[in-house]
Amino acid sequence: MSVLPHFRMRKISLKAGIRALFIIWVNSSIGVLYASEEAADWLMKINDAAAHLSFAGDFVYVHDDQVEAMTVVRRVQDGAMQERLYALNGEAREVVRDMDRVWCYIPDKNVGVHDYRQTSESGFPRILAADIDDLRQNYLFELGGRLRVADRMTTQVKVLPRDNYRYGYHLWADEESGLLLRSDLIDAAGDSVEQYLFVNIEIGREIADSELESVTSKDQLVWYGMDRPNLTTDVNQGQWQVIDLPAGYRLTKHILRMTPMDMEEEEHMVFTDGLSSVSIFVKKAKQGQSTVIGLSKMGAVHAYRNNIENHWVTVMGEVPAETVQHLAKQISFRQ
Amino acid sequence: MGDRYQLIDMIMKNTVSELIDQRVAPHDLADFIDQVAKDHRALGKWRNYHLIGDVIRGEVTSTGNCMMGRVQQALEAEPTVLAPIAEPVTNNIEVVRPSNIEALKSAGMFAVAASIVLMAVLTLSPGAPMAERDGSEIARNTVNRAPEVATTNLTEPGQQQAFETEFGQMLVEHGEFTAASGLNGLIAYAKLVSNENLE
Repeated sequence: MSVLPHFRMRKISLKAGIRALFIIWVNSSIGVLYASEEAADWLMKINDAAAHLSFAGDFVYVHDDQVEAMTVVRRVQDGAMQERLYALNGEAREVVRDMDRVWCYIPDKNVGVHDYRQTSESGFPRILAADIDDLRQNYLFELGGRLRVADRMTTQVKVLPRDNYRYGYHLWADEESGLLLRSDLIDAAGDSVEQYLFVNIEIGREIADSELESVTSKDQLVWYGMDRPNLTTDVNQGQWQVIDLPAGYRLTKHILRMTPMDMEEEEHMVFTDGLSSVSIFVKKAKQGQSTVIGLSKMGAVHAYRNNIENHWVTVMGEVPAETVQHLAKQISFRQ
Repeated sequence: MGDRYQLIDMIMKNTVSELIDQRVAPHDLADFIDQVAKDHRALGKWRNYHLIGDVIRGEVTSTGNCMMGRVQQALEAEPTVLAPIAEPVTNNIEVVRPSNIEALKSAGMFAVAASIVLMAVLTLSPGAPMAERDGSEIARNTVNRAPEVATTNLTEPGQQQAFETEFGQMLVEHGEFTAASGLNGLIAYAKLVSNENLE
């Protein structure tokens, strides 16, 4: 028996194997792509639901080993949003807001605060201001499993960062409405740094005016507040610039404002990759003034402060420590 | 002119502090009152100190626009030491006020209000020194290496509060501009509502 037929058989089987592997790879790639597209679709559903649905429910907010329980009532009517957020444990603090204004009730301090909002498009629990394609540069989208949350079926969407300059998001969207019922902010180690989830919720029902009224009467509090909208000055080219941004981040806001407590000029820059955001505050240091230098952490928020050219530079955002440290090193005074 | 008011401001802060501690001699107090009474702006500052003191002590009970305006003015006028002692800056720096200061003054008023809330609501801990924690994280992460971190521990309660207040202000300002692009729409306001002392 010659060796040739045996070799041919092996060659044929090798070809078949490669072909089979290729088919498997193509199928799995198509599957991954399909799952990624479906995950992106879910993100858009979440975004859309947050903008258009009325709902009322209780949720828990978990951070820094603390668990806070709250009620939220939200009404969207004729494109206008009204919302009341109310603490269920401890003091009966609450926030009532609409598209333009916000009222904060702090009954345990006998204080109320009302003000105009700086960004009326701010929403709860709205995500995704940027295009999905832009987000793909910095995140991978995956479809997770199904999970029952607040007695409703949800689908999990994983938004995984491509590098360590941003957190990941594990989101659970209501299968019927698309509303976000659970959200976990995930660090590089895979640990949850901040989480909220609904324990009960009614979606799409009519919200009565009385449900949007505060428990505490306004007359019971001493009120602080403004009688006109806030003003800031946009700057095209500030005195400060960031030379090298982390991948995917872009400058979206650069304003000049006065610091509220000491009325000093401050530059404020906001950078975002579409999901994660970082602010940089720059303020001139005063004679004899001192402060904390270095890194601080509050839940998912990291802040890094440095003194550059006799200015206090504070970088802050719900991003990993690496991001704020990187930006703190890259900011410089424009000559 | 600016230097004069800065000086009055410094004197007043010291004197008010000493008055509270009852460490001011009668003749010093008389001189001080005389100086203040001669100057309209200084008199305004003196009233502000009293008003803020009243608010802090919970002695202000009236409500309404008039009261709100006074408190707001007081907060605008009252300089607050935000930072604890850690790394003093010794350079002689003049604070430059822009010509459009009035237009800009209102820009931070949301944060004024929010910082009042935050003082009541948030305990924004500067956290434990991060060097060790970061070291372990970076060890798992070969893509990004964090620079060395120098974090100062805050020992005095006043320093801690000042630190929290300033960072609280910044956090709210940050949240206002980023709420539309993330999940912060919920979280930013949940932080305002939360009771940090929950056990």
